[in-house]
Amino acid sequence: MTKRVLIVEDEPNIAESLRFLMTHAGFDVILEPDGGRALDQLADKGPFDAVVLDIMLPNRSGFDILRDLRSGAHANLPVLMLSAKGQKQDRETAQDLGVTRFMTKPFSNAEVIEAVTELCGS
Amino acid sequence: MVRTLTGSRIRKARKSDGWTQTALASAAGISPSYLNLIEHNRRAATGDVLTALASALGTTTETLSRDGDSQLISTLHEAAARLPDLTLSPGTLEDLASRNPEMAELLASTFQRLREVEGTVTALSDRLTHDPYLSENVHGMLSTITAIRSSASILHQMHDLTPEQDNRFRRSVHEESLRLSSVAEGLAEYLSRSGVDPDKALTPEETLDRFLTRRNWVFDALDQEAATLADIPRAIARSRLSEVISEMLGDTDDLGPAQTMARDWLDQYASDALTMPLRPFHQSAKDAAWDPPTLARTYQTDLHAVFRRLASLRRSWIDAPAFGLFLTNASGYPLRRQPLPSFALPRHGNACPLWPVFEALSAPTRLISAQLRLEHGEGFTALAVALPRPGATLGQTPDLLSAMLIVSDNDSPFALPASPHRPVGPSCRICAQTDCPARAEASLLA
Repeated sequence: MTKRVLIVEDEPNIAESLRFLMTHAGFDVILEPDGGRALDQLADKGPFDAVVLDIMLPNRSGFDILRDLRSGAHANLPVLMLSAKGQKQDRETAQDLGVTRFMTKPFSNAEVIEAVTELCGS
Repeated sequence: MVRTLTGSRIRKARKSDGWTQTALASAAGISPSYLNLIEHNRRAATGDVLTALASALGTTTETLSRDGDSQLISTLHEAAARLPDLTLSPGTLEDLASRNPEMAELLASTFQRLREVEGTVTALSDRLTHDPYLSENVHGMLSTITAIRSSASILHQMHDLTPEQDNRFRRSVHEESLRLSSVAEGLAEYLSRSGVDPDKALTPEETLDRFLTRRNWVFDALDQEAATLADIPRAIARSRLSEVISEMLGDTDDLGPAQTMARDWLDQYASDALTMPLRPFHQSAKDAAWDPPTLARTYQTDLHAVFRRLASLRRSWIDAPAFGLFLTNASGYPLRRQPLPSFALPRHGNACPLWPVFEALSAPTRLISAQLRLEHGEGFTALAVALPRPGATLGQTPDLLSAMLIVSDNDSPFALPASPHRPVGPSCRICAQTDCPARAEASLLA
């Protein structure tokens, strides 16, 4: 069965590359550039098997979205967090909030596909 | 306080004039044993005794107690304080400066250089961590590199792209390359503008800091003017001081956006100078054994004002401990900072959470004291108190400000009960303390 992935990323060229790669790898992908609409997408177009989540997003940060996911109905949804800030503090914050995987930019295509595949258990 | 080399100078003058200790002591009206202690820098020669000795030796008190040596010995004491395991007999450093001044100068200048390097590390770390421009552009650069790497990889590895897809990712590489060039140019210009000089101001806060540091946080013109205005109505006095401030700011280099901040700072300094005129305040402080609550009662003002005034006594002709000051709001944002040479205070927040200035916020109006020890070993006494922001009215959201007065243990005038020193740092980023329960981020020094 095709796995569904929500990508929350506001950089259009990164988002487009991720969508292409994941679609090519056999995933069903939904893109959302606005942090403020990520939870709506999960509710409207779910269920999803994993979320790829940037930290710095318009309207709502990735940390805020992750916090809501973990305190609501998506406590166990696998989340891969992408950060352009490789600081240890960001990684620790993400881990404290319950992130499943954390990856710093710039990442390779193979790394991100491998991580999402692993998260979806496929 | 640090003794000067006055004793060594008296001994040299005595011998050169052919006096015996007994004869000079007799001429100065003191006992030979006391003169012996003075000559070996074990007792300070001040006031009438110094005058009598100078008179007997046919010289002046100024010649016997020069300020430069005092500065040298003070620096040597600061250097020695960095080595907590080093035990020195009283007078060792004074003897060193007296018998081997070249070695003493070498030690002092090496220590000064070490302090400058520490200051550079602190300033650059502060900037790298908190500079919003740098942070935003580094973030932008990493995102751009990610997009280029991903698109280039797709173009290189995928051989079944449609013409539209091929075109799409080629365009992506092109767009992001242009963006990367633009970010790189901006960063290059920014870094060349800032150079490697951490003292070069880039933000209004840094400009204000540089303006105040150059003047040692002291404004004699305001103190002198305030002293002449003691007996006239306060509003008129403030108005006159405001004119002095305008003249001072008009004479300075371009403060740019920091002009308003500098005026606010000087307005508060002027207000303190009116409430606590310099010379009477200095005398009161000595009479009160530097006790801030006593001074607050004497001058009918609050502890924050007393802290500020104590920290403004830094001048060569005033015999006072060197106090540092840190004022923050409840979020930890530094509102006022006067660091000590060996106690750095961050410009942008993220100070050590173990400083009592933060503890004070949990018990407003209560003066708390703590003994602190930095990782290099030097001990400090800190007094802290949190007070509501002055001028708040009924119904306004309470806004607490917390201030911390710091003084090196070598210089501390406070008679506080002995207590264990609390290990602290300047901020997590540049703190080498290990196993700290309050660590919030990794140390650059780890």
